[in-house]
Order: sequence, then structure tokens, then C-alpha cells
Amino acid sequence: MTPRTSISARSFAIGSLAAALTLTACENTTQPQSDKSASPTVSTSATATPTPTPTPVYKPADAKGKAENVPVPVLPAAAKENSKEGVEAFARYWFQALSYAYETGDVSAIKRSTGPNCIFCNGLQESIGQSWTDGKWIVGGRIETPVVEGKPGTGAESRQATVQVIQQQVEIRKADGSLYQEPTEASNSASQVVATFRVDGWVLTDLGLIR
Amino acid sequence: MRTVSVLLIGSLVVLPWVGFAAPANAESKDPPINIGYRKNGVRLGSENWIRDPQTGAIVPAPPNFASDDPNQYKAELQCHVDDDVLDKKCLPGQIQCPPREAGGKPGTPVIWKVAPKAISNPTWVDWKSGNNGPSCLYDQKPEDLLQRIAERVVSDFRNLPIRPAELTAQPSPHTLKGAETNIFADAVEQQFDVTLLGQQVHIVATPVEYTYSYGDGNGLGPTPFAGGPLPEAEWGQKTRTSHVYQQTGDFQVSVTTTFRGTYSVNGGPNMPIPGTGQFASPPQKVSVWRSITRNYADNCVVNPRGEGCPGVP
Repeated sequence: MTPRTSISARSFAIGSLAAALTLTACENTTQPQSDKSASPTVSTSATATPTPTPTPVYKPADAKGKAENVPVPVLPAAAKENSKEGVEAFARYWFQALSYAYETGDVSAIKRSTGPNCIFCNGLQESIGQSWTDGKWIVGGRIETPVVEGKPGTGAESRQATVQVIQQQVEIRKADGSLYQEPTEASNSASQVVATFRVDGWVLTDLGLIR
Repeated sequence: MRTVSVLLIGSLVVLPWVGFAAPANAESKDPPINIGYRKNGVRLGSENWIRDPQTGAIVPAPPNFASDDPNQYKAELQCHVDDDVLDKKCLPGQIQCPPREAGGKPGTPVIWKVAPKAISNPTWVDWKSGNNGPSCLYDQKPEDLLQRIAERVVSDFRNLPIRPAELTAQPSPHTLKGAETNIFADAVEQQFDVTLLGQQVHIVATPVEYTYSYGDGNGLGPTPFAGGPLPEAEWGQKTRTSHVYQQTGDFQVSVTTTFRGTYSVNGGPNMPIPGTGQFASPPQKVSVWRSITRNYADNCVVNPRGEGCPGVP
């Protein structure tokens, strides 16, 4: 259990930083936010202002409601370079965006950075979409990628990375809070990412499990 | 039709329902959603990758790749502070392994960890047993017990009474020269419970490959294809495992089935047994005949004394 806790603690720290930086992006998302998270989320950087403005605090989803103030993943500058490090940073970002989609139902970031022919990616988006219709929401499902290893020396435009993907248990809750189906158990798996470098950066073109 | 649908509704009401019993209100009319990351990948059958055993690189899996377990496992001994002082510093609340029989020694609890084997330095997560209970090892030296079992299980696996495939030829026992004779194997997964170094070891043997010997100097395999039966009307058709005999005579057909195994120690995860076991089926005799086709101008009514007509020698 220890490694898992430490990872979530770390990513939470990164996450809350991201949330502070990208609050506007958060507000602009077209995704309907949870009713319960409709609290006034406007916050200036809490350290600078003496007034006790409530900082939006990340709250994972539970049986009572959706996740709140989920940190919006930010594409780091490193992920815009055509290099082994670049594809690693991009793969890390892509799974953060996937995790964000699980937690919020907002697949727009994933869509933007995924090519049209990735079967696995499309299936994930579809399942997430189905899980967020009719007032349903997802509890859990967060994804961590403790190991991301770019493949050295692959082509100029297309590169690969091997990613360890750890996902929490996933519950789908219905509008009344009851379970939609049996929870899907947590998983710890490895995936291969194929990404293509385009003028505007990396696009994930294929994704598969390593068996 | 109406009775049928009424019956269906009735059974839904009567059985609200084994799988859905735990989450209250889960309605069976909602289509299940494949929401897990890994499950989605398995279901979609998107391109799979494997670690190339030679180069160590991750490469696309070949077609027909039979995926075995993509995970690796390790056991962490609990209550194991230093090598000499076992069982002394168990923290309160830690899982306990009571003695197996009255007056016996308590066991050493282990926590199994799982991680994908494609990752060299992975983050491990707890492996969950079916009954969620602790795994316990009962031995004087639990530290290297699993290593000793791992070494022993390789040879023990090859000596298990694994039932080989059943071999069938169609048609048989007589078939025709120059025709496709459908020969197929039927082997099943088998499970064994053995005691190994004092631990309960559960072994599952799975047939993975077949090597056919047709008895005329020809053979097939090793191949993952067991073949299968043809309906009688289709006898003579080519199949993945069929064979054409070029000579008449009696031939001994045989098949050797390659089994792969997994083992689990005291309820722990199923771990692969290195290597494979070969198990031969008893050979079967196939008699190959030739057929001669002759054409006749008349039928037996017109020419009752013609060759092949009833009563004609």
C-alpha cells in the first residue's frame, strides 16, 4: 500500500499546483460541472491575498457526488519536443488527461491529442462517455504512470514509449448514487504508446497493452 | 411468443440476481460498460505488444499470439525484521498465520505483490487473493522457501499424471489414399493439488501445442492448432491438421501435447512454471485403402450380370 499512497500524495501536490495555474481553463470547459461543485470556485492565489478566499480543494468523487476541482492536466513544454524525452513527457501528459477524463467525464483534452485510428483510445473515450450520461458519474478510476520509458532510436516522426499504467478501482454511480454495475477492480498493467510528431506537437496514434 | 416473453420477465423478477446482488438497485436492463483501462484494452483486441525474448524490445505481438499472464509476482514476508528473529516483531494488526495443527508452529504471513512483467523496475501493488485472506508459509526457513518450491515445481510438473490428448482420425479406422484424413487432438486443462515442501501447491496444466506424427514419415507441428471434428458429410475436406496418405497400408498416428503450467502456493497467485511438459497420446492405427473408379454403360437392371451388381462374384 505504501507506494500507492506516496504516489497519490505526490501527484496531488503537482495536481493542486496545476489547478491553481489553470483555473481559467477549468472554468471554460464546456463540460457540465457537478451541481455540488458549483461553489464559487473563483480564487486568486490564496497566498497573495489576505482575504480568506477559499482555495478550490480537490475532492475525489464518492457515492454522494462527483469529483470536485480535479486538477486540469497541462501539456508541459518538454512534451513539445521531438525527442525521446519529448515523447515521454507527452505520454505522461496523455495519461493525466485520460485520468482527468475518468474523473470529470471531459474527454476534450484526450480528443485533442489523439489520432483518429487509435482503437483502444476511441474505446476508452466511448466507455467514459457512456459512464457520464444520464447523471451518472465515476468514482475512482484515477491513473498513475510511475514508469514511462521512451524507446531509443525510433523514427524521426513516430516514436514509442512503454508506460506502466496503474488505475484505481472504477465505480459508476447512477444519478441516485447507487452503483450502475459491479465495480471494475484496480489494475496494474503495461502499455505501448505510439506517438507521431506533427507541426503542432505530438499526437497519440496507437496504444496497446503489453501482454 | 407471448408466453416466452412473459416467462422471461418472470425469471428476471424471480432472480434479482446472483451477479447483481451486492450493489443494491443495479438494474439488469442497463448494458454493462467496459470502463476499466486494462479491461478495455483486452476487450477491444487492439494491437497487443510483447517483450521480445531475444532483444528485450517491446514489439507488436505476432498474429495468433496466445497471451499468457502479463504479470510478474513477488512475495514479501511479513513479521520479518531480521533474519534470525522471526515471528518476534509482528506488529499488532498484522495478519496472523495460526498453526495448521494443534501444537504446531504458526506460519509466516506473506503479502503478494503484482506488477506488469514488461516493466523492468515497476511499482508493485498488492495482489488480492480470491478469498482476500493472508497467504501463509509454513517452514523453518520461509525466506527461501518459495525459491526452493520454484526449483522443485519444474521437474514435478513433468511428472504429473497429466492426461494427454485424445486422438481421432476421420474417417477411421479405414481411410483412403489420396484423400484428406482429418486428424485432430482433444486435450483439456487439468488441475492438480499437490504437497510440495510442506506447502499446498495448486497446479494448472494447459495444453498449448501439438506435434502430430502421421506414421508415414510425415508430421505436423508443433502447432497451436488441435484441429477439430468434421461432420460426416464433410469428411475428406482439408483442415488445419488433416493429412493425405500417399501409400496404402497400416500407419500408427500419434500426437504429443505440450502443456504449460502455473502453480500457486497456499492460495497465492498463479505463477508460470518455466518450460513445458510433453505428454504423448497412445498411437492409433489408421488403415489406408485405395479406391478404384470404373465406369459402366448399363445399370444392374439392364445388365444384371455386370461387374459389381448383386450376386455377381
